Amino acid sequence: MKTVYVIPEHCIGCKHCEIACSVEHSESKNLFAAIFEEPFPTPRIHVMPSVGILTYPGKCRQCYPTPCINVCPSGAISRDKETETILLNEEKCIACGMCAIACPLDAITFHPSWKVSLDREVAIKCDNCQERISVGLNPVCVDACKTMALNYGDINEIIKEERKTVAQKVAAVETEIRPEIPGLIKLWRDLGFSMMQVGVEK
Amino acid sequence: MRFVIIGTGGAGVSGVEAIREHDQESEIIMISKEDVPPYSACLLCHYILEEDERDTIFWKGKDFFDQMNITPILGKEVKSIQPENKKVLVDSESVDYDKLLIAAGGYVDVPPIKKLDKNGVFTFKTLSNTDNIYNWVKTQKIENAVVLGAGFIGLDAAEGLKKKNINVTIVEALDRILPRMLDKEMGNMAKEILGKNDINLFLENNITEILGKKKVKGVKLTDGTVLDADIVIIATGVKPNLEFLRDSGIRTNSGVIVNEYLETNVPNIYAAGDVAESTNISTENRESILLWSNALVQGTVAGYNMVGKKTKYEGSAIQTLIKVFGIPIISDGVYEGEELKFFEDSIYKKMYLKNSTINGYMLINTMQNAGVYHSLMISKREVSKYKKFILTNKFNIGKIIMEAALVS
Repeated sequence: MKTVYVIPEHCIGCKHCEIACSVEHSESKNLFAAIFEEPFPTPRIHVMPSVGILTYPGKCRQCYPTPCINVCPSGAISRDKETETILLNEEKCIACGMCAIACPLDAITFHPSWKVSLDREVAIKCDNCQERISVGLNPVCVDACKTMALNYGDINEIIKEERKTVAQKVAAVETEIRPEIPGLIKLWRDLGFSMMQVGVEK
Repeated sequence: MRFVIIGTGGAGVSGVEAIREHDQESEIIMISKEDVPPYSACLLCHYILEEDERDTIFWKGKDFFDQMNITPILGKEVKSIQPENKKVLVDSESVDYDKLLIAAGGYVDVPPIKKLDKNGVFTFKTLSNTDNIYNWVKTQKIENAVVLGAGFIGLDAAEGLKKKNINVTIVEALDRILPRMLDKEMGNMAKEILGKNDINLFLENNITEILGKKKVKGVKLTDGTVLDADIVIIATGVKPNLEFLRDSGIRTNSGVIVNEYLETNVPNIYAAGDVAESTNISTENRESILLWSNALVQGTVAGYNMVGKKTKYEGSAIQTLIKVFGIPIISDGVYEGEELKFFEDSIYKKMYLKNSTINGYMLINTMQNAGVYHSLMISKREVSKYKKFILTNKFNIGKIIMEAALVS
C-alpha cells in the first residue's frame, strides 16, 4: 500500500502542508482564488503543537483496522479497493461525528464542503490526493514538505529504510556512518530536547 | 451452501458483506419483518424532519439485495427456529439453512401505561414507525408533543418535532437526561441545551395514562400533572428480540449467549448485533450493548466465521455520541476512580482515572481528543504524566506520538 509516511521529529511547524492541502481541495485549486472562496478552504492535515516547541503534522494514516468505517451509520466511509485509501462520500455524510470520536489520531474535522452545500457541515478527512496520485504525482502535502517529515511511497519500503537507519544508529559509532546534520537543524532539535527536559508545557 | 440471515439491520448487512467478500457463489437469504431495503436506524432522526431525506436512510442503496445477489424474504416474521431440522419457520413457510445468522435486533420496551391504544401514540425505532409519525404530523394539526424517555431515541425524536415548530415536552423516569450516558452533574449541564431550545422537561416522572377518546388528547403523569398532547412518542429503551427463540434450544440471557466467535450453543447458528450479548470492554461484564458500531463489527466477525475464516470478537466498546441541537455529547467507559474536571465557557469535560489509566470520560460541546482518550483507554496506557493538562487544549495526539518518536 502506498501512503504518506510521517516522520514527526522532522516537522518544524512551517505549515506549508496545510496551505498546499487547503488549496488542492479548494474549488479553484489556486491559492489566490482560493482565499476568496466560500466556504473558506480548509486543510485535511493539521500541524499541532507537541512536545515543547516541536510540532506534529496530524493526518489520517489510512489505518488497519479502520474504526471510522466501522462506526459510520450512513455508509459514507469506505476503503478504495485500488489505492487502499479511506474515502469519504460527502453527499452521504450526515456529520453525526461518530467517525471523529472513533479516530485515534483525531484526524477528522467538520466543515462545509464546496462539493455539497454551504449550509451543512460534513466530515473532512485526508484522501491522499486521489486526483494527483491517479496521474502519478505525490500527494500535495508531501511535495510541499521541505523537511522530509511527510514521505510518500510503499509503506513497507519506507519502513524498511527506517529500520535500516535505526539499526545503523544502534550499531555504529555515531558520527562514523550518520551524515552530519546541518548546524541550524541540530540547534533546533537540541532546543526541542532541552525544552522537553525542563518541561515547558507544565 | 445456503446462508440465512434473520434481520436486515446493521449487523445483518455487514454480515452479508463479510460473507460475500469470501464467497460470491453461495445462496444467501435475508429475512425481515419490514418490507423495505436495508436502512440505517441511526438516520431515522434526519428523515423525521424532511420527507426528501427518506431515500438517504437506505445507506447501502435501494438495490442492496441485487448488488449482493441475495434472495430477500420481506414483510414476514420468523416464528421459530428448528435446529434439529436446520429450518427457520417464516409465517407459514419454512426455510432451510446450512449456516444461520440471528441479527434480529431489538424492540422498544413499552412500560405499562393505561389506555395506550390511542391514535397518535407511537414508538420511534423502525422505518414504519417513522413513516407513521411523519404522516400523523403532516395530516393532523399538531401543537403539543410528549416524548417519554430522555435517552438517545427520545432526544432525537424531540429535536425532530421541535424543528417542525411543535411544543415538545420530555418525560423521564430517572433524575437526569441521557441516564445511560451521563452522571447527575453532567446531566444538568446537558439539560441547559434543552432549556435553551424551549423543550420542557419533567424528570423523575412517568406517564401513567393516555387521555383522549380515540385520538390522543393528553397524558397524565405520576405526580398528577396533565399535559396536552396531540402526539406521544414512547422512547423508553430497547430490548433484544428473543421471543421467537424460546423453544429453539438456543441459550439466552440478557441477549443471545455467544462465544468469542459469535457462535451460539447450537452448531451452525451465529448471533450478532443488538440481539446478542457481548463483553463490555470497560467493565468486562457480559451484557447486551445496543450500539450501531458494535453491531457492524459483530456482523462482520460473524460473517467471516460463517465462511470459515476464524475471527475473534474483541468485545464491545461503549463509546457513544449524540448531537442535541448540534451540540455533541460524548460518553465512554465507567465513571469510577479519581475525578478530573474541566469546565470552561459552555464546554464541559470530566474524566475518571484508575491505576493511572483512563477509566471513563464525558464531554459536552466538544469532540476534541475523544478518539485519543478512547484509544488510550482501551489500550490501558499510563497517563499520569499528562494528568495536569489532559482535559485542556494543550493535550493532543501530537504529544504522544512525538514522545514515542523521540525515544526511539
